[in-house]
Amino acid sequence: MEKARSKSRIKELTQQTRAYLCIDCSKCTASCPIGRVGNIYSPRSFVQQLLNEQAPSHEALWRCLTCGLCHHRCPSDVDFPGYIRELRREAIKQGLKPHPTHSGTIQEIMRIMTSPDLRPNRCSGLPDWVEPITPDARKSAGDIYFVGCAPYLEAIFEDFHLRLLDTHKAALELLRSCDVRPYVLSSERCCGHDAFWSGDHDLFMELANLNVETFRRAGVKRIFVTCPECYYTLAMQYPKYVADFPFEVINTVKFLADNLRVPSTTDHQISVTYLDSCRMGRFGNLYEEPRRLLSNLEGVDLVEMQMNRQDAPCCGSNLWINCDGVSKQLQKACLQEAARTGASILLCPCDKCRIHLACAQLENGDLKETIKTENIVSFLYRRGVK
Amino acid sequence: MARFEPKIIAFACNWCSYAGADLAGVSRLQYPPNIRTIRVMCSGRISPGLILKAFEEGADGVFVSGCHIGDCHYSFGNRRAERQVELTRKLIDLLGIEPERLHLEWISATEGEKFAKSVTEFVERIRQLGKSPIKVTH
Repeated sequence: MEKARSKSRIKELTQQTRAYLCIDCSKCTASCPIGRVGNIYSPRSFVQQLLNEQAPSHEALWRCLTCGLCHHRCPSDVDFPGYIRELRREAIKQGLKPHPTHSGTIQEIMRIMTSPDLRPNRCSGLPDWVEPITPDARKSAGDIYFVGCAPYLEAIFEDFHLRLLDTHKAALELLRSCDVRPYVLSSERCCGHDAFWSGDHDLFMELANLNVETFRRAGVKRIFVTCPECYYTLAMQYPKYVADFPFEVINTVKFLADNLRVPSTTDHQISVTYLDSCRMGRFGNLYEEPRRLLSNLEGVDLVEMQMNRQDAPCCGSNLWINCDGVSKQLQKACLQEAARTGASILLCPCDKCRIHLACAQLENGDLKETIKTENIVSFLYRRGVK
Repeated sequence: MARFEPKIIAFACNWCSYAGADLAGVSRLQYPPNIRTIRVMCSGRISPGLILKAFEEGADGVFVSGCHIGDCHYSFGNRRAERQVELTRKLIDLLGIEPERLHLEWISATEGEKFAKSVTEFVERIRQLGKSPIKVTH
């Protein structure tokens, strides 16, 4: 019975994601980063198996990085990541689960955040002028800044010395120089991105509803977001799944590209390269904004990687469920490609990418000297942009 | 109203602390029945994920115990435990849970009395703090 139900559900999903349009061309398999580093993984055969009503393996279901490169290149526009997400949702309903990394710490944090009475204490480390709004405050906030999981990740990955909170400090300072003074909500929850893509839809909905309730109570109008994953989730998924979402979600990098004044200070000459993280680029369609910001900077020379924009390489890991030798190889390839540009800094809008790349650098001494990574926002701030 | 009885998960390492708990038992020492003991091979096996899971599933406090520094059966497992507990304390503080709800204690196999005493103190401390604010709806 259960099997029959799930079979008809798979048929439905095949319709929804238009997987039946697969023409068996195998462009996806050739593009797939996992396939590229020698691991046998093929979105094509995955789809073909399902079309022929064979169940693909449990492992294959969680293997996909949902980086979206296959979808971008597919001539039939098959949304493979979306297909995977829906299948994961079905799998979770049947009690199957992915194996989390870091002993499931990050997943536990997400689950604990669904407690309605929790009063998180997460605003330390932000500039002094930023006023946190507690859930009990009766206040009309207007503009808020959504921090995301940076404070937690900074604690967990302290040894990587990435200074993840600097990104948000810089973003807030730069916004202030554009005459925006956002508040921060102290009881902000995880955006639910990882739960969403891992197929744990109930968890995603719990977090989304709690966040939206907090926004509503605080009288929020505009939400500024720097993390590409949070931006993607808030701007593109919340309006789809939350009944009433009257808020304007603004990507900080895009906002700065439109509003930041051209810097007057000339610093020493430096060449940088830029990594389009998947949620910023292929999913968020923000390719030119960061480049415009960089091209406006005096003394900064942007050298593109061979694979850029829609074709950008993957950082090798996501959702805190995929990490193994394949991830390490992808991270190595990404770092080496960045180093080949001759740039001294790899700028990236996503701090999770930076964590994954730093992990590979920490484990492999040879990669340590390849290239330094920095968040594009903190780089702008460091260069003295006003 | 009845007195609040906290639920506490106590992790004890196989080589020292669990034996210490055993000694407390065979010596007929009294300590409150609020702890649920989980034996692990080494305190170094305890990760933030495990501790957070205990909290998520309704623990009001978590008690981690291992061999004294220098006595670890696996040389440096307890050093690792120390770091993991410290990190978890930071994480629960960010989440809005009192860091005092997580306690680390070194207890050797001969320290039955210390086991009973530190558990009694910890249960009392959690009783003062009250129920954990975590109530996972998911």
